[in-house]
Amino acid sequence: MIPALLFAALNGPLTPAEPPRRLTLSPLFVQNAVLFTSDRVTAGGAGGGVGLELELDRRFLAQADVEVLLTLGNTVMSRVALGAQRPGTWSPAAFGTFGALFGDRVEFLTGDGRRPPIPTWALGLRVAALRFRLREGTVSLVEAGAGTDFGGGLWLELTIIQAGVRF
Amino acid sequence: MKELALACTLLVGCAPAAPALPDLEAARMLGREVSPGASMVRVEALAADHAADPKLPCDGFPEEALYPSCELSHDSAIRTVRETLESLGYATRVEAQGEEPLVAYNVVGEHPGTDRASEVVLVAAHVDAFYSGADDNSSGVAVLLEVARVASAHRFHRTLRFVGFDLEERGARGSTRYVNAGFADDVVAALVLECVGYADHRQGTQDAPPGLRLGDVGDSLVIAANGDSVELAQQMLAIDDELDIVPLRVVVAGGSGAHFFTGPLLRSDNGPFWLRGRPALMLTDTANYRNPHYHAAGDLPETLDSDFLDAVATLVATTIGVLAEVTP
Repeated sequence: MIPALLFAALNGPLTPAEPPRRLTLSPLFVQNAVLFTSDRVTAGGAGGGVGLELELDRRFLAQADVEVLLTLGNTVMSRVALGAQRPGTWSPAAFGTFGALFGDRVEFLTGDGRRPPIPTWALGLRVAALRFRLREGTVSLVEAGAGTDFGGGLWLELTIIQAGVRF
Repeated sequence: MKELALACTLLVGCAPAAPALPDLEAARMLGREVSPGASMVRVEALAADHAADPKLPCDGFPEEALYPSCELSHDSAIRTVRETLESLGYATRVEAQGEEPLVAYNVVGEHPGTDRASEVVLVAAHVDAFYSGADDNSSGVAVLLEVARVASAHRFHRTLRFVGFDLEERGARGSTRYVNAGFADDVVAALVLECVGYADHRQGTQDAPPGLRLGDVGDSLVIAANGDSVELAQQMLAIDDELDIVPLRVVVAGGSGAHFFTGPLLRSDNGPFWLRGRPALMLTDTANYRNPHYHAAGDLPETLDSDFLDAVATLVATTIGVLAEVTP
């Protein structure tokens, strides 16, 4: 699916020919890897999922996605992101993100036996330098992000590819 | 309970609570009866026997840096476990499983429960060892025997079963066959003792596999749990927190624990229990992540910490008092 979207997007007309639209909603397909590490938890993994992207005035973005990650067990990740992009075909973007991990993880219990809270979460930033906005959709490669749970935990994410289709 | 945890997870996000701890007074008595220094005496005898024992055939097991496959022995340890458990009054048997040259001789001693005999609390340690195998795993066997000695003088509501698993160093064959034969289906809690005698109180003496945080000082007993045994681990932590027996670190691998990054936690006889869905904990000093003599000729009794061994025996004895419900 993602290679097909990539091919279609790269062969489509450039953005200037596109009629102006104030608000667009696009389904997203994502492949990425996430690692959260703290004194209490190691969680994350590699996998993929689906989501939605809302674009306002070709500049502002809101994304939400759900992904299934493997490697440390069966983990479900949910992310929301708010950001802005540069208008044009090459449209690098930056996002403020909230991510939450559910399911399997490695836990380190406290002395009195308490387990870490569920879900594992973090607030952070994500940068999409190789993001391209085309008539049929968007393609973004190698997005990098980092975040924290404000308790010493570090969230790292690397999005291999994110592709959206515009209707 | 699992449904509740799932609902909790999906709806609000929360920290799962630790189970309530029962009255420890009766169980504490078992811990107090551990004889200081007795485990080290046993380690010395077991290690001397391993050094003198004939070695197992090693065809098909190439020697590697951490795997001196042609230095493995088990004869004397099997005999020692069987004779000791018999002398303590346990109903003892040796279960031979598999085919030559990889027959596993698991030694089993049982102490039937008074009214819930079908619920088994199992304590295990592997009896095969490379070279002298003081830490790996004469230490585990010695603690098992000391706890068995203490428990032999008491009665429990649940059945206590002590098992010396064979051929752990050949891919956990003894425990795998035992579990796959259904012999562990009555086990409600298993404590697997895997290298429990090496401690180092200096900074920089504790290493860890990627993703597992075990601190920097090698002075703690590490308990490895999975999703099926996390409540057991919480109970042990609560007991230790109450009685302050030994520094503990508990690592819980999610789900079955059989995942890429948590593979090191499946290296011992707890692995087959986890894969079978039976609640099991591995108690360990973390072996090669702490002990520089791991699988080497230098794994000798004089490198071990007798106080640490006694503390582990005290914790295990107290814990089985709780889990098997010792009668006052």
